[in-house]
Amino acid sequence: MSAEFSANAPIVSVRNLTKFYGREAASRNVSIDFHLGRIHAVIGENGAGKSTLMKMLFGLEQPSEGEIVFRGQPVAVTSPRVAKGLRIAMVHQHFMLAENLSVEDHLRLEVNSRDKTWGVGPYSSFEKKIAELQSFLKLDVPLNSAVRQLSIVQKQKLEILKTLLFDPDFLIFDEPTAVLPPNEVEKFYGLLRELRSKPTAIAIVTHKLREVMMYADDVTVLRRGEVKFHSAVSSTSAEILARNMVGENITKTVNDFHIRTKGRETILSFKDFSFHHPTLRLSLVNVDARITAGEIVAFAGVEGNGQTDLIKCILFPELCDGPRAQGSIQLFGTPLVESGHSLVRHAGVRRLPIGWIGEDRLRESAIAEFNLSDHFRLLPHHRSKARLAPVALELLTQAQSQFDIRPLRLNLKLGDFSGGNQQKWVIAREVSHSPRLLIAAHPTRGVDFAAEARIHATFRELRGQNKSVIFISSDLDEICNLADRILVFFKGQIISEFTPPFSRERLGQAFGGHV
Amino acid sequence: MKRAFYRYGIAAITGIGAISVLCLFAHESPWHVVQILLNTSLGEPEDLSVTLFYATHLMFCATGLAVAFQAGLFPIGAEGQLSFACLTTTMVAIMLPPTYFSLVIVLVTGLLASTVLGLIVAYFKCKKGAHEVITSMMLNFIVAAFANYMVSHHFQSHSSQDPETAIIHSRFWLFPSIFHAEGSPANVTFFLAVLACVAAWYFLEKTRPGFEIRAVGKSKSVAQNSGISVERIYVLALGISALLAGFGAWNQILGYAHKYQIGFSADYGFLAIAVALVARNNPLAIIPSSLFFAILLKGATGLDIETDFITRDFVKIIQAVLILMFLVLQKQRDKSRAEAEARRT
Repeated sequence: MSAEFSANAPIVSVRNLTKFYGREAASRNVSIDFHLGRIHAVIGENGAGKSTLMKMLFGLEQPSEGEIVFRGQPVAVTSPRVAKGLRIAMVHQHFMLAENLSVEDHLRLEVNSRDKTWGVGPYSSFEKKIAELQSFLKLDVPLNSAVRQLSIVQKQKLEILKTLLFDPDFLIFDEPTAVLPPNEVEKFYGLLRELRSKPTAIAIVTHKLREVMMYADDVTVLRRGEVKFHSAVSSTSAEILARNMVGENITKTVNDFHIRTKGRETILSFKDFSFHHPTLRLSLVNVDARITAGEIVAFAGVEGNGQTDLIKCILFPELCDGPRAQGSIQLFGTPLVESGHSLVRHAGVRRLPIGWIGEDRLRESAIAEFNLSDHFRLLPHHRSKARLAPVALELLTQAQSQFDIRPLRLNLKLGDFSGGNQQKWVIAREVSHSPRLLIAAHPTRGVDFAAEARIHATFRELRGQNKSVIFISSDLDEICNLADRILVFFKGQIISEFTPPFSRERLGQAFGGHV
Repeated sequence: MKRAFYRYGIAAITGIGAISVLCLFAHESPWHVVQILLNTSLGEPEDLSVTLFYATHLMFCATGLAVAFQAGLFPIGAEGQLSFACLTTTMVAIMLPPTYFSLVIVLVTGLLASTVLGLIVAYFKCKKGAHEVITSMMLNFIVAAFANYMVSHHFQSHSSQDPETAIIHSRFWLFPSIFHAEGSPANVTFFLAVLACVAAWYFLEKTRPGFEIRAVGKSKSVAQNSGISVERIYVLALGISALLAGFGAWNQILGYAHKYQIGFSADYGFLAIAVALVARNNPLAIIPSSLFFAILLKGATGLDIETDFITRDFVKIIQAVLILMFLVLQKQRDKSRAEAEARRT
């Protein structure tokens, strides 16, 4: 078989791959070639069929039609085990790691899973290789440390290390940089380039055009399950890619900053606020900040540096009871927390004119089994009386048209909508009582271009009505494009404040704690 | 059409087939078994009366449980709550003179008593984090022991060999029988039970506290984030749940037996769990579901008497298979609906 296989031929190609889920085609007639020594970006909006394609390549799904050709031979990748046997490896977006096992346990598992001797012996023969790979990946953690002690970056490196143990020819990364802080993204792609020269064929699934343009060699755009565009990166542009992803011209709104002027009304203020929660590792230290009417403020930073915790303290002032909090929080001129005592409880805060979009939709903000009326009633303002008033139909239809939510039917349950549309329904609900302050954690995470643009537009509309918006994000593009002011969090402190024009470089440094 | 057959047909045939085989093992024709089941539960007015009486108990307990289940709780204390309500009602009725004032007290005592039991469960749940399954089950045992003690040491009827109290004053026989026959158990509380189901449905679907109960049941964290106090909802749901089970005392003591008998309950409080599950915690569906289970319960006695090999316990196996079959059919219906939905969009 290697006789037929020449150096220029693709190592993996998919031919006319089609995948049906019920009557819906998630993937339709997809043909792509992946070459050794090249980084191939597969991009597209949510639901474009990227994940389905990669799952078929890795044996997690079986194609309904079409074939996968490996080194010139058609193969049936019936399971991940078969894929690994063909030296195809995949790093999933959500890490496949057990928090309580050690690094070594994971490596042993990986070795043993490929081995037919029931796990006796062969691990020791990998020890040298593991040490080499560790230094190659700069993963300097003791092998006996538990995975839960690892940082996100280290976890990802462990995942990569697992795949490299068996010298893969074809490496698939699903949204690899979604979890990475900006300063680590470049390092990650540096690593990919080294892997590429082994040589390895690398496929990355992403929706970040900037990274595609900077780091990839080839790019394929999928839309609605079909290949819409294919090119070498050097001969295309981000605009062309974006147009092909969405299928129409999208005008990217340029940030029209509203620079804060003095004398604006204060909406929310923190005065020397410190907070230590026993179950969180992190403490908030000496937070001083003021949010005024008519501005969009980003709580930026790598995830887990206190942004979410500070929001929690606003929404759940009762958390601040007792010795663990100092300082004060004021909302709309009335104190929520004063020197370690809450003056309002959570239910009271929710009755104020504020909106809140939690970061994990179905855990924090919405119930999939609820119909849309009940969904809207999750906002306390829509259930003010003992007898439930029906939620006004015009409220729902207005939200639907404002946010362009499809399908156009109101008797569905929330869970019947796609993820992006669920998020739109959550935001529609949280702005339906025209709040004076909207707090959103990662409002556009996992939603497609059009939805993101719609959500950003909503935030700007609120600002136009002299309302305030706070959003948590670690996505530099989103932050620079949307915010009027950026507060960067690092280890529980606001270490710097940025006003326009923003310098991405300095922002990235601030994310890493360098001011 | 073909798909529908695979969906429902296989489940139904498997279920009915399994029951038929069981019947054949017991040397009875399945058809005969069904005939006996229906005849002995619905045939004569006396039989129907017992069936409706059972259904009344099941409805009260099951709607109560449904309210708690909808809040995401799984208390199994309906049995104890029912017993405690019956016991206290009888005790008060025996101790008080038969005045109009005591009439009110007799009516209310059982309801209060069972509600208190529910609130005890809620207290341990909210303040100490104790799981409601454990605490409610423990309370069942406590109530059973307390009832034994009370009856045998203080209220034992002198004219009876059975462990039971004396008969309460006839002024307290508040709920007349539906059928005119002497000692016919079904009484007007049956209609109250139907009303209770409708009221519980209205409460859950159309009122704010009902909405909050459903929200907590579907997702505690989302409900909390929407400004609902989860603890308050637990207290409310467990209280209402116990209150509804307490209405069983009206049926049992004030409507039918007029005395407390140890072991009066045919495990109504436990059977009600199955009733609520088959009805998917929908109080309106609990009405037919209760009738169905009441027929099986009454029919079991009939089968016990009229066949050689089929005993009450054997009927429990049949019940279990039927419940399984129902649950599978419901799941299949959900699938069909979801698919129809997907086709439309």
